[in-house]
Amino acid sequence: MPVKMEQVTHVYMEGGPFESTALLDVNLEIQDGEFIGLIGHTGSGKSTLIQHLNGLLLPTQGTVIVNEMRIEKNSKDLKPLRQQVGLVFQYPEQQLFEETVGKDIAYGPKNLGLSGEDIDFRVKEAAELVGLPFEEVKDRSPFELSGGQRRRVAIAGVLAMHPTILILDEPTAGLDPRGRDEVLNGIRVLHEKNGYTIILVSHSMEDIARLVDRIVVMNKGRVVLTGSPREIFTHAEELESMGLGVPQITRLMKALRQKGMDVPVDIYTVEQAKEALIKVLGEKRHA
Amino acid sequence: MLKDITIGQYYPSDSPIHRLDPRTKLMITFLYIIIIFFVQHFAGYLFVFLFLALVIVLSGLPLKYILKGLKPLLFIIVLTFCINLFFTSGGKVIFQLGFLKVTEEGLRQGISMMLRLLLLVMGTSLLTLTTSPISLTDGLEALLKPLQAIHFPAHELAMMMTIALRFIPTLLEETDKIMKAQMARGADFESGNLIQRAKSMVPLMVPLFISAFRRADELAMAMEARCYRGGENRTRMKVLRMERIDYEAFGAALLLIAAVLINSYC
Repeated sequence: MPVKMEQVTHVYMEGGPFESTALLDVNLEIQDGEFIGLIGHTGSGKSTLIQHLNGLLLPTQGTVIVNEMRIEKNSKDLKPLRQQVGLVFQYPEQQLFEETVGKDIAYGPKNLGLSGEDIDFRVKEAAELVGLPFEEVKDRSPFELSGGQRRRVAIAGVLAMHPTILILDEPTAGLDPRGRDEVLNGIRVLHEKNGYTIILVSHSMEDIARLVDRIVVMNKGRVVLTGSPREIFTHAEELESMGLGVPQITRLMKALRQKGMDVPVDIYTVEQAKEALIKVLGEKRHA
Repeated sequence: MLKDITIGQYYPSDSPIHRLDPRTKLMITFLYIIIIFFVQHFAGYLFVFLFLALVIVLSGLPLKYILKGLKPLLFIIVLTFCINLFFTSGGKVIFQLGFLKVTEEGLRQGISMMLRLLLLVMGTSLLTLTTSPISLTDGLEALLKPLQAIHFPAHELAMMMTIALRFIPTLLEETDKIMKAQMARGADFESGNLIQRAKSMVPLMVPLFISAFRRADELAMAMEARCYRGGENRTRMKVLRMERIDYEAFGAALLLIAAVLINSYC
């Protein structure tokens, strides 16, 4: 069991005038190789939760266990943990600082104390994992690249640490459709071909529905629902009351059904909808 | 790591001190700073201390919160005490160890300096703890306004301060975020010698500067888009007005000044 959270509570600014509880009694288990989608309204505690998984925040109460490492209130020496769990923050391109792409990706491995050759190898490997033409970009400044490319450089910088678990916070925020597809496809390949355990935080129900195995829904610091996309998206009213929604295609299928068309409603991708519609409409034509 | 800084932080509440006009608080703080340096005898510090205690009680701030703000300054306060203690000569020698010599005068001077620093820091931090940054700059602008006659840019200065203050939390948040992002990549900001530590700041400073410039640019554009053109004929939403409580506060401050001056020079 790579990730387990046991009754984790986190309180910000404890004792001060701005005290606030961001996580409340969270229990969560994540299996090896799972692709998890984490959704929740702004301020629901998603960011706080993911920062616990690599020890950037320590629980006020409770325990986090990652690959048999225990993280508690006063844990120290978190470097091995941070190597295992790669965390890509929102707008990660803002953390780029080196003169060249190659040097920036090398920052993480260098901090791990690797030798020159190992670093070069990892940098190249990481750049290729995110689909960057390495030879072309390695000597360019990260600030000359496009938004989608910059973001992939930042993700490569995390991958070069060789984590087993990869967490991405809103990796497509602010990208154009093309940049979005580049990033999402990259993530999918990492999961399918390279077997990473991935936790994807997103506001886009479409992206979540298309990619993940299991959805975790957070509201007001608690985990309120978990299950496959099909299970979660049947709770449309509940999701809406939390300021979330279901994919647009699911709403379309519901609307069609209300109009009297005999389509299933547990559909959440365009491909599934296409097949269902062909089936229904095709039957009609033959009838 | 950054959450321990309380200097310049506002503690929202609704106490008589919070309700004072910011001009009153600014002027009294100014007088308070000056009067501390007029104190000659320890009795004078007692008056200042009583005044400070009165303000703290009236402000309803938790004492713990004010004392926490002193923590980062502990080193400077202790250092000042030691320097004055060991390097002031005169009076009877109380204690001697090798070349280190503590004299009566040194002890007096050391304690006096330490008290001065403590009272200064606590008094001035009360100003920012009980006054929101916006009303603080409003007050400052109103106080500096007469200087506009000699072409002193009072409004511009106040606007610059407002902007600077407004961006402190944003920058702190951003520093925290970038620090975390680099820590997730194995950065270590806390160990190593001075040079190593300075070097480890590069991955933090470069992104921070880039985003600060970007923000400044965006803000300037947004202000111009809303036709901002300086202070000429600008009206304000909250007009400052002196109330009874303000005059009472001035009365208390004058009492303190009189007490200290009489104690020191009569």
